[in-house]
Amino acid sequence: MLLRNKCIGVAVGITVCLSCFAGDTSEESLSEVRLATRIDSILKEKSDIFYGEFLAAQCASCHSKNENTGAIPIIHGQSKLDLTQALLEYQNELRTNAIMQSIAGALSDEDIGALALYFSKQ
Amino acid sequence: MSNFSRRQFAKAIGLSAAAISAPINVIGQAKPKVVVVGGGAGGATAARYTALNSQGAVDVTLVENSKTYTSCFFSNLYLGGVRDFNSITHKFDSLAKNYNINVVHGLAKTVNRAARTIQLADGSELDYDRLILSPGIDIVFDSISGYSKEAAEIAPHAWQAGPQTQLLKAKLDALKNGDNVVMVAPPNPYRCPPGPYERVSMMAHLFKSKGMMDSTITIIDPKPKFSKQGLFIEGWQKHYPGMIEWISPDIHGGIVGVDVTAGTVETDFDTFEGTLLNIIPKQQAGAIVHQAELVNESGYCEIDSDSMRSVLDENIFILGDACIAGAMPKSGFSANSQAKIASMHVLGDLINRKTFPARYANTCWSMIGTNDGVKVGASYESVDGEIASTSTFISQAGEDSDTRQTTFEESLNWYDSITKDIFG
Ligand SMILES: Cc1cc2nc3c(=O)[nH]c(=O)nc-3n(C[C@H](O)[C@H](O)[C@H](O)COP(=O)(O)OP(=O)(O)OC[C@H]3O[C@@H](n4cnc5c(N)ncnc54)[C@H](O)[C@@H]3O)c2cc1C
Ligand code: HEC
Repeated sequence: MLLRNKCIGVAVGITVCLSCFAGDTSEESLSEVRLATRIDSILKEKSDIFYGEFLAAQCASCHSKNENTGAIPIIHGQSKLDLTQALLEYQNELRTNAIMQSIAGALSDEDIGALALYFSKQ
Repeated sequence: MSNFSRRQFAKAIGLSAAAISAPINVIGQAKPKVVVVGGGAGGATAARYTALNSQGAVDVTLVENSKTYTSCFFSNLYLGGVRDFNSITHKFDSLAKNYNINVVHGLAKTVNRAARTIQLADGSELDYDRLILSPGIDIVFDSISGYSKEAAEIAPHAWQAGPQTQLLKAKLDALKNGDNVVMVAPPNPYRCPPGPYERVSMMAHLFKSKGMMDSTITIIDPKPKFSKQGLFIEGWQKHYPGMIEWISPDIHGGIVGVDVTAGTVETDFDTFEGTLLNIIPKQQAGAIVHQAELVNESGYCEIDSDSMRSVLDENIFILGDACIAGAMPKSGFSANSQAKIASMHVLGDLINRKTFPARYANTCWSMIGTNDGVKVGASYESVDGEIASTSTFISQAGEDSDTRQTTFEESLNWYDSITKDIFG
């Protein structure tokens, strides 16, 4: 949760962070800036919801639309920003779950955009 | 919406125009027919996705021999006393009611590929435009000398869930402290690579929970190594020290045969005696694909890795344990994943629904002990005509107990989700 809030901050406060990019460049702030830039560019691209629906079928083995409580969260109805960000965080190992790191690792930016669009409409 | 306007509608929103075979869906003709044989992890998913995504434009019939489906997945937890039998048994009601699938309970005996019909044991016949086969496995009883269908009533395999699982559970529950189990593990390829080793863990868990600390389990394995081996061995030492012994072929030298009445397993090296034998023989694809001549010399079916279509018949798709799926293991998760790709191509053929390059996924969780779960999994794509993994993960040895507990909880959540995804 902490990480997520921090990263949303980065996503909206992109200019602020770009200044730290120019000056103080710790590993962490560098990767957060790259992440924010990628979130931005994914959200800007037009995504194909049919492609998203196709990809999302493979998520349904674990992510159920309803009545899921427990170790696998409901992702249906999440915002495009939240989904995109979460998937990029798994991909960049900013979130630790091994399953989701691997699944996100196999997704391209186009895939992520389509999935985010599809799930945000559920 | 009429068939005609549906096609135009499809065109208008930019769905792909060319079907692989001659278009079947022509004005004035009946709806195209999809028949699915096998209502398990692969077949029920395929029927459900086909019905759901065709929105009534195709007729879907599901042929399943049993009135209910008991999953092999989590059947080891039932053996260990962690789940009850009802919780792993599912009905077909929702598929019939909520998805308009014609569920036919009966045994499919033959496929007439030229006429595109299948014949059931009761003499009835169904015709199809596309046929999806997900019959799972058959046990090759005579692959172990002394074993047979009758012998399985004394020494259950319990590798097809249902009465066999209940029989093994009853026999396990009847054991007393000091009694021992001998398991013969299957040779590759077989359904659920970590399954035998999860089962042994659950047997030991049951003994431990009943204070039967003098009981032991011996695994006689035809394979020199097995899935998640390091994780299982570590777990056995931690939870069940001295209770489980794994014997590899370089020690036993080869399995000669079994005598289920004497309760013995003979190997080149020695004869092992068990109060209870659990014999898991070699497996092959279900009978229907053999009758239909869709198998190769391995006893399983070659498929096109982009679509799950049989390489021998463009009107037939083969899923799950029955097919040869490259890097994907034979699992319920794999079958469920493959079903979605097959269904997409069936609808591509029949109603020009848009298709995309295949993506598959699998994860196999295993429960080693209380709140101790491990997992292995991957994402897959079709690469040069083979299903190949593009990204993999596996639990690590020595993980902390929180991680293992979370992994176990994921598996509980997964079971609920996937059975909903399969049966609606
Ligand atoms: C002990 C054990 C543990 C397992 N644990 C896991 C796990 O944790 N996770 C996992 O993903 N997988 C697990 N598996 C593997 C999983 O059960 C199988 O891989 C999966 O069921 C395969 O699906 P399928 O559709 O190919 O076959 P099945 O699920 O076996 O379905 C086949 C169905 O077809 C029906 N049928 C067959 N022939 C005909 C016919 N001619 N006419 C009518 N009906 C027919 C059968 O009655 C059956 O219902 C486990 C397996 C075992 C044995
Ligand atoms: C094998 C099971 C499995 C599959 C398949 C799977 N997930 Fe997940 N997913 C999980 C688990 C477990 C978590 C919780 C991980 C954690 O605690 O960080 C999760 C978490 C997530 C989250 C974070 C949600 C949040 O609110 O924090 C997103 C987003 C997500 N998954 C998206 C996807 C997408 C998209 C797919 C399909 C491409 C997918 N998942 C497929 C198991 C799975």
